[in-house]
Amino acid sequence: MRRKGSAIMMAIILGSVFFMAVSGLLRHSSGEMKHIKAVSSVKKAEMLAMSGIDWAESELRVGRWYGKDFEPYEKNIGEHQTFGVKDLTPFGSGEGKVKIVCEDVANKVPGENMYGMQKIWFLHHINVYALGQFENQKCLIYGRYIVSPEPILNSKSTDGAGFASPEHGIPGAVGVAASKSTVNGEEIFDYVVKEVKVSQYDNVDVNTVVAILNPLNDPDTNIEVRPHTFGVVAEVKCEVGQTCRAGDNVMILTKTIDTAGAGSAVMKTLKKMVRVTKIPLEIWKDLDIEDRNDRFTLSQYINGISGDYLQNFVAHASLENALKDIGNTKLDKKLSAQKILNKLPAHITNTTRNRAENTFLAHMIKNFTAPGGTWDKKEKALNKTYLKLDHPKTTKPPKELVDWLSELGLAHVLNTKPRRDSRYFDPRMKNDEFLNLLTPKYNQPPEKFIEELSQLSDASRLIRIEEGDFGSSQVHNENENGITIINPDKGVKVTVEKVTKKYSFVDPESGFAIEMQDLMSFIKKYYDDDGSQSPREDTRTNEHIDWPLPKPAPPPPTPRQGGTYVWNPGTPGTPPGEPTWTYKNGTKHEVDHPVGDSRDFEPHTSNPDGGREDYEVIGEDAVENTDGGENEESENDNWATGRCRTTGCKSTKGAIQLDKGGKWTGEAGKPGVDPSQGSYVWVADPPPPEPGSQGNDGSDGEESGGGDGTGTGTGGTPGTPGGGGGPSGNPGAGPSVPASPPPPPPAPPRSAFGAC
Amino acid sequence: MKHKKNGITLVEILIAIAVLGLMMTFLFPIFSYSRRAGTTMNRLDVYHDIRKVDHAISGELKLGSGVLYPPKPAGDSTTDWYSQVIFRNHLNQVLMVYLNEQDKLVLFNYDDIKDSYLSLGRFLGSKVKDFAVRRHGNSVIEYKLTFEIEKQDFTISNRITLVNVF
Repeated sequence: MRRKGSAIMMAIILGSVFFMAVSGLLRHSSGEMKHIKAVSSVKKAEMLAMSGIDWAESELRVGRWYGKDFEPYEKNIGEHQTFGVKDLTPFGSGEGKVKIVCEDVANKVPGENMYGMQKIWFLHHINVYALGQFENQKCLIYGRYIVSPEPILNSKSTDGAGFASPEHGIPGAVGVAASKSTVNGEEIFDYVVKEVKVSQYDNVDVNTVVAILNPLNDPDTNIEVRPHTFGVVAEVKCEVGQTCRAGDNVMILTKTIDTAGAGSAVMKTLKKMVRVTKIPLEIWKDLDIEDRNDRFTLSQYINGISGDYLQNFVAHASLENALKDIGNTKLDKKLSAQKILNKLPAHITNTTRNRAENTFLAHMIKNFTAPGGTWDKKEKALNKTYLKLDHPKTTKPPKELVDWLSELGLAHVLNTKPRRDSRYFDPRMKNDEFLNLLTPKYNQPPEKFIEELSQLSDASRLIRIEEGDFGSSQVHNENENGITIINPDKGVKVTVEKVTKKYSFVDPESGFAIEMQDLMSFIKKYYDDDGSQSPREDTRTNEHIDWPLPKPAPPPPTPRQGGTYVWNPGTPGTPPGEPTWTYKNGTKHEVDHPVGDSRDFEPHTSNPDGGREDYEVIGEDAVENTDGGENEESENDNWATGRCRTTGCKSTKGAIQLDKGGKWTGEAGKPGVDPSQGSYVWVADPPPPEPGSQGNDGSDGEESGGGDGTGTGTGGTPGTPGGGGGPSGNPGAGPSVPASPPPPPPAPPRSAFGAC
Repeated sequence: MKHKKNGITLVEILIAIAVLGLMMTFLFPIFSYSRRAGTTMNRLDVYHDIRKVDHAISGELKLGSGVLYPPKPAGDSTTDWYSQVIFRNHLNQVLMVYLNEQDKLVLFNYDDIKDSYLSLGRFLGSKVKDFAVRRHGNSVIEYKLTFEIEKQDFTISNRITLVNVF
């Protein structure tokens, strides 16, 4: 029987429709799931990398886990790793992982004669690389951990050297050292303490004579010792009759910064992870962050974009001004690019490198408060922060001195720099007010700009008047350090020494303080790589090795009759020569700067504000604007030319050079000479002096200026503030100013006295 | 003699109605599923777009080094909602996220310069009904993105702390 009907056909058709609908939905869902998974993987890889950066920041706040403790007076060769690696699974197993590499970057210039070392390296910053991996997605994020004052490189600490390894026993304490002097053309290194003029807990400042020394062989000449900063005497390290050598501390000071009603501020180390940057895949795809040579390549890329970071910061003055004008006004909900440009111009302000750096520094200072806390607290603190001049009061000159100078017609030498602007001397000056004073000077070299923010030269004066025969010529010599005036008619020589004082940054809300020099150094590290040096080896065997000084005196042997144990301090050795580094088997790669195209810094000689360039937008949005905006017609006409209005489009910015695929190999420099260690020698009591003879030969009965055996003061003429400029005198600032003058040569062995 | 019957019996009619009813029972859900599948696919597209846009904005914002617009609120307070955000990224480039007149959300880079031209910008998403931004304190940005699909609004909001703000 033949069956008629279409039920089966209908069922097939309907079934097919049903199947297609469901499978389409399933396929779409599956595609969607794939997309979601892909987006989610990328996001997870980024989150893992960011977690790595966060982990590194919290870890580095405590210290460098891959480092070892600093050992003063010991050679640091082949012991300290230059980097540390950590693998983490912050979201649990199976949820991806992150590899974190932290790498120390040293200061280019080492310090000298500090912390028990003749040559000592400091940490400039730490490069942090975090590679997040989730399934087949990877993300590399870079962060720069910056610290100021600087820690010792060959240590595990991230605290400023003066806090982590206090040279004077008390964190942040300052030593007042005897310094080399010149008497009758002869350089004097060895002294006998004639008088100690202060005691523990006394307040002292740059004009306080804390001790008087006599040159060892010249008991009639008095050499004054003054501190180079204000402070409270924590410890007097010498007694009358003891000998000491240039560089020996005669006393230790602590500094308290009174915040006038809000308690006192304490000097602290500043630490922060900055410049957190996602590195493009094309830069690192064939690099391994665990390989130091590859990290060197990455550091070259980061160095390359540091200039862009700075340049971009100052490029949009017109836009920032326009935004200020807009204030709280809301723009239309929907806009075209061209309309946006009409309201918020894209003019580029080309400027000099100096001006860019100084503008950046000033911006950061204006917005700086102590780390941590909420924005609300920070904003309140912003209105209260100030710069404080070290010992701001000017010493009132004695009437006798004033009368003398008036009689000589030299009263003007009493005046210090307020003639420029008395506000520089304000005890507590608001940051922005200070920066306004410096505004006309934004095009000077940043070193000079920083110096002006960090210290005030000629902030105080030391004046001496001597009577005697000084020849027949009238003399009036003045330079930046002082004034010498000789009046032969009156037989008078007047010497004026100009004293520089430092500024400190104070945040009274949090009690945070830091020397301005250190704060400026901190901010400069955001963009500046010139002062740093990435390592070229995994363990410091050739480069960045510290070299010790002779060890300090241990307690003397038990005293016995007939003589004295005298400490012979030994002599410093010679640090090894600089190694030579060669890059082998690698190739040079060039990558474009990620921004800027035709933009560059202007030469220093050109107009500091640069030329302006107007830009139009490529594509449809630019065309859209021709329909509307009648008021903006003239502007559009100009844009329509499609050319720079000014001639500033020439590119001088080269590509970023990367060394890829090779290895750095080092050849050690000239070997160093170990210091000779000191020892106690027995010096028999001299026979009773015969009439008419003097008892000290100074040749072989040895003793030392002991102390902690560290650093030396620098420079100075008789009566200058003791050891003021030398790195040993100021551990807090020392690392930031490593280019200090060389130390005086070791003093010859000296005869037996107690040591300072 | 064979007698030919014409017409249909009541039973046949009832059977036909029953069969038709049975078929309709299957057909309706099929069409209904089909319609729902279409709607769901559209929604999934929207969700996908929203996720992409959110990922793009948050990715740029979180490494930012400063916010230029909306203006800074006083203290710890929050600003009103604005329709654009202008900020500096990790390289201090100035970026702006805004909604253009074709309902496209655009990321515009003030430093993406070729000779005397600025690049048009990157389209982050289309069919965006609204983009609203407000600022909390100095370094936190909250944004809301609203897409309209089939007369229904879909909104995603996010709050990002810029890690490179000083």
